[in-house]
Order: sequence, then C-alpha cells, then structure tokens
Amino acid sequence: MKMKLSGSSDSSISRRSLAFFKSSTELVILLMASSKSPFLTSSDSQFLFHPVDNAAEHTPLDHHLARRRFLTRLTAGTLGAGAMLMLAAVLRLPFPRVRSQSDVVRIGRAVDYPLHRYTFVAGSNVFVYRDRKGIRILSAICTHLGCVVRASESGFHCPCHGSRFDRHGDPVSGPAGRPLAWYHAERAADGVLVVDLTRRVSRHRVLGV
Amino acid sequence: MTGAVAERVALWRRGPVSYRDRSRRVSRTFFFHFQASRIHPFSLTPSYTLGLGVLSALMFVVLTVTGALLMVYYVPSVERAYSSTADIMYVVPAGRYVRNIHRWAAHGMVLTVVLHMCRVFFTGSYGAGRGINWLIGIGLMILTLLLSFTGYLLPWDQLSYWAVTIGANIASAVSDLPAAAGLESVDPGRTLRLLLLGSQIVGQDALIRFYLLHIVLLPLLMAALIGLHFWRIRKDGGLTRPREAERVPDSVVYPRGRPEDLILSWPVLFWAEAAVVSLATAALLLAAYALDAPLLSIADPTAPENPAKAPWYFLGVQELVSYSAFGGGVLVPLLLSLGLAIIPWIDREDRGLGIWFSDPEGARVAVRSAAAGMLATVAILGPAIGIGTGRAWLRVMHPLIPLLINPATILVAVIAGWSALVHRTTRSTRCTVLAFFTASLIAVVLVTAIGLWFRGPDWQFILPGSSAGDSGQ
Repeated sequence: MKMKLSGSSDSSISRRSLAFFKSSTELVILLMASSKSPFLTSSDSQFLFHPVDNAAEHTPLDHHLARRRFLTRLTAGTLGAGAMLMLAAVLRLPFPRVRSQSDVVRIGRAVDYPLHRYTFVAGSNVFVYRDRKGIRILSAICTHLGCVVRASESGFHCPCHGSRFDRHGDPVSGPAGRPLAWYHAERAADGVLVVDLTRRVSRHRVLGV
Repeated sequence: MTGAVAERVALWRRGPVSYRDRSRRVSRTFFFHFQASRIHPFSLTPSYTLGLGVLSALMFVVLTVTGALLMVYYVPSVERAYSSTADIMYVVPAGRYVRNIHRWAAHGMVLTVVLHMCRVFFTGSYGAGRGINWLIGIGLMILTLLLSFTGYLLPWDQLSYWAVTIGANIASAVSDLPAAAGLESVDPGRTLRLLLLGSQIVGQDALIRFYLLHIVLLPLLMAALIGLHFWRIRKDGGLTRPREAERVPDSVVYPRGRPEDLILSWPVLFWAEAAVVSLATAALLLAAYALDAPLLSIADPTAPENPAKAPWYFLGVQELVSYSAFGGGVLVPLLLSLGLAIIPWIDREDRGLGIWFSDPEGARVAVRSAAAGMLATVAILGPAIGIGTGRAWLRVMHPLIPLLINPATILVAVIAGWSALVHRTTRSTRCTVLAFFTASLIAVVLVTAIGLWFRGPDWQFILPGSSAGDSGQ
C-alpha cells in the first residue's frame, strides 16, 4: 500500500512537470511566433499570419527564405530558452531553503552564576551577567567577523582581528562596528534559564531573579 | 626507421636524429605537444623566465597526484574529517609524507604563481597582444588562492573552523555597503554566505561544499584555464623576447620569429625543463621530509586560537581586515584584482618588451615606486596601529565613512595617486603601471609581514621574537 502510494505520487510529479514543460514550450513557441515577436521580421510575420495577402508579390523563393529564417530562429530560440530555463532551475540547487528557526539553548539555573561578573557559557557562546537586579545575556560572537570574544578586565577582546568592546558590549577600538548583542532570556518551569539566540533585546532588559 | 612502434623504441634507445624526426617527436607525443616543436633560443634564458611557469605547472601536477592519494583516507564529514586527517598523519603508511608534500606544494604554488606574475609583469610580457593570457593568468592566481583556502578548511581543525567562519562573514560583509547606505533590504552578502555555507551555521553543509570546490570544481576550472594559458602562449608567438634577441626582426610572414632564428625544442628545452622539475621536486621532497604540515587541535566552536592566524599568504588580507571587514576583505582585494586585470589595456606601449623593467627609466620608476609603496604603507599603517583608526569618531559622521575611509582603502588611494603622479611626470603608460604594480606589491609584502611577524595575541602589535607570534604556517 505504502509502495503504491509513493509510486503514484512520483508519477503525478513527473506528469505535472511534463505538463509544465509542454505548456512552457508552447508558450515559448507562441511568443516567438506572435506578430510582435522580435524573432520575426515584418515580412516573416506577414508571410505567417497573412499568407494570402499580396501573395502575388512574393516569389516562391521569398517564401522559402522567410520560412527558413523563421524555422532557424524558432529552433535557436527554443533551444536557447530551454537552456535558460534549465540553467535557472539547476542553478537553484545550491541555495537551500533555510528557515530562520528559533535557536534556543538552556544554560542552567540563575543562582549557579556568580554575581557581578560575566560568565562564559561555552556551548552557546554567550556571557551570563548576574547582579542583584537579575540576569542579562550577552553574545560572545564578535560583530566584526564572528570569532568568539574573551572577557578581560576592561571588557571583551577578540583574538582574531583585535576588536575591543567595553563592559556593556559597545565597540571601543578595532574593526568591529556594532555592539555585541543582548539576548532574550526566560525561566522555564523547572527554573532553568532559556536563551533565545535569535531574539535580541535592549541592553537594559533584565530577567528578574 | 618507419612506423610508430619503431619510432617509440628509438625515442628511448638513442633519441631522434634528424631535424624532422625531432620536431615530429614533439608534435606527436601527447605530453610534449603542449609545447612548440621549435622555440626561440631566448626563451631558454634562465634569468629571464626563472622557470616559474614550469614550476607552477609542476606544483599543480604534484598537488593533483598527492591530493588524489589523500582522498583515499580523508572523509569529508564533521565527525571524521579531523580524525581521518590525523590518521593520515599518524597511522597511514607514508600518509604524513604525502600530506606534507601536498601542503608544501600548495604553499610553493602560491609562491611560484605570484612570482611568475611578477616576472611577466616586470618584463612587460603582458604586451604585444598577450592581454588575454595575462587575464587568464590573473584568473589562475585567484584560483590558486581559492584552492589553498578551500584546502586548509578540510582537516576541520582550529585553523579550518575559524577560517570558514571568518571567510563566510567576509562574504556577508559585502552587504555592509548597502546597509550603511540605508538599503538594508539589498543583501547580496546573505545570498553569498548561504551559497558558501549551505546553512546558517558553519557545519557539515559548509564542509561538503568546500570539499566539492577543492577536489572537483576549482581543479577542473584550473586545469581548463592552464590548458588555455599554454595554448595562448603558442598562439601569441611563444615567450616574449627583446628586439635585440632577433637576428632578423619579426615580420608579418614569420610572426613567431624566422625559422632560421628558432631551435628545435627537442632536446634542449626538455633538458632545461627536466632540470627545473628535478630540482624543484627534490626541494619539495626534502621539505616534506624535514617539515611537518601543521594540524592544530580539533575545531572548537567556543574559542579560536589566540592569535588565530591564517597561513602566510592570507595574513595580508587578515591584517587589512583588522582595519575594516568591508574595506580590507572586499573592497581592496576587488580593487587590486581589477587593477591587475586591466594592466594590458592601460599600457599598450610595448616599451622595452622582453626586458626587465623595460629600460633604465623604467627601473628608476620601479625603485622609486618601491620606496613610495614602503613609505606609504608605513606612514598609513603606523599611525593606525599606534593610535587607532578613529572608527568610533568616523562613524559619528555617517556609517558609510569608516567603510570607505580606512587604512586599507587609503593605502590603495595613495598608490593610485602615486601612479597618477608618475604618469604626469613620465607621460608613459608603462611607467604608470610599473608604479602601480611595484607600489602595490611592496605594500602587499609589507602588510603580510606585519601580519606574520608583528601581530601577537589579540592581534596586538608586537616586535618579532618578543612572544610566540609566529604560527609557523
């Protein structure tokens, strides 16, 4: 049963793509053959769309040449358009559909973090700052080119290109232009801190203890 | 002696004898027919070619062979990349030797390709209708650098992981310009980053992409361009040579030199090439025996090394990026490549073709430009290192300003200004491009030297030897 289902869905996909291919090919031919088409000269379109009009003025050779020109352009155009369509479809491949999904990490209980200092949480690359008011979460990812910064006496420094940030995560010197990000934190039912690494908050936002 | 079999036997037994035999030997043998059966004797001057083209091609061949051998054991998965590389180093018979050869040949290729470009430039060999081949050569140099980059990502050690991270973020930095101009919706960097990483994070998707680039796409492209490069040499009439080297000047009838001026490639050219190839191979094998290719500790996404240094050929970029991600990582490399690419169309004088620095005036310009480049680099980067770039202050005015005005871009602007000045005084395009190339070359060398020897932990300025600043790569 399962086999049959998957087989039928496969064939419906191929049927649909075949139908799509047919209709797009027809569209291409139609567009190329339309009287406004850039692929046709006025005499071509005249020949095609008004074959009886002033037929007497055209010799058989004229007809033959117009026909040949039209067929040449039709072939080249179809091949070209087909190649472009295929290329467009194929070049789509290396761009996966990535959704910005929430990146939530659990970093333990608030009381386990020492007061008045930034504690690095290795797995999630954030610093936890705890004081009497509560908990704040600071990103450890350098805003310059994405290395992980280290805490120092005066703030944070990046080992890759020498960016320096003050104790609030604001850039002081070096190439980094933007401040380090502050993240949204919540307390789960079991009391563990949950940090959403995709949700930025103001630096003043504190999760009360 | 007639018949293919008889001739092939004769090749090894006593070599071809008659002139006709000798030239046929070259044109009929697959591995020789890349080269002309007759060449101008000047092409054999060692001090002219320095054998650099042959060396670069040799490195590519060595890299292809050793690379294929490494693929026997290497596994491009995040879980196994490091351990399989470590296996190659410590378990696989001769694995360490093959990996060492691969690594040092890669470094050697960067060196020989850049030196080859310098040789071609300083002898004016981009001239006389060789513009397209110069362009192909620039493409080959960029491919060489891309191959090196994708190569050292594969072991997935600390160097690899942070190089991928930084590389992908430099790609994202393309969008810094539209973002600073207030066009946040225009985000080519995001697309570029997605194309490189195949994901929003650095992981398996990125590794497999770089692996594919390293072993299939870039080498194929490179092999094709090398073929084109060789073919163009033939079509352009062989290597450049000074007019004085001709007994009879080139004519329309004999654009590649008159037949009486040429000598048969067999065996003279092949002896010369064999000498270069043997010496280089010997040096490579010795280096691979004596020095181990580095393998740092396994990738640690929570802490880069301190300092986290790229291999030497990218330390110039790393130093420039430490002033501005967009300026040093995107704008300056783009401007320099563009400047290099258009040289044959800026200078069409063919002045002193085939002579180092063209003539005494050219040599003078080169020496002065070297001094100017040195002075400019020290004068611009010195204060930037000493007192900072004033980014915070510049940003107050407009976010575009630190992107466009930073030590990296100022250096390029000064070099462009110097070239314009030389053009005004000499009225010679050859002197103009000599000024641009020489000053840029010196600047690149100096900036690389700063990154290599003068940067310590936290990318702070240090004096060489004062601490472990050299990563030894």
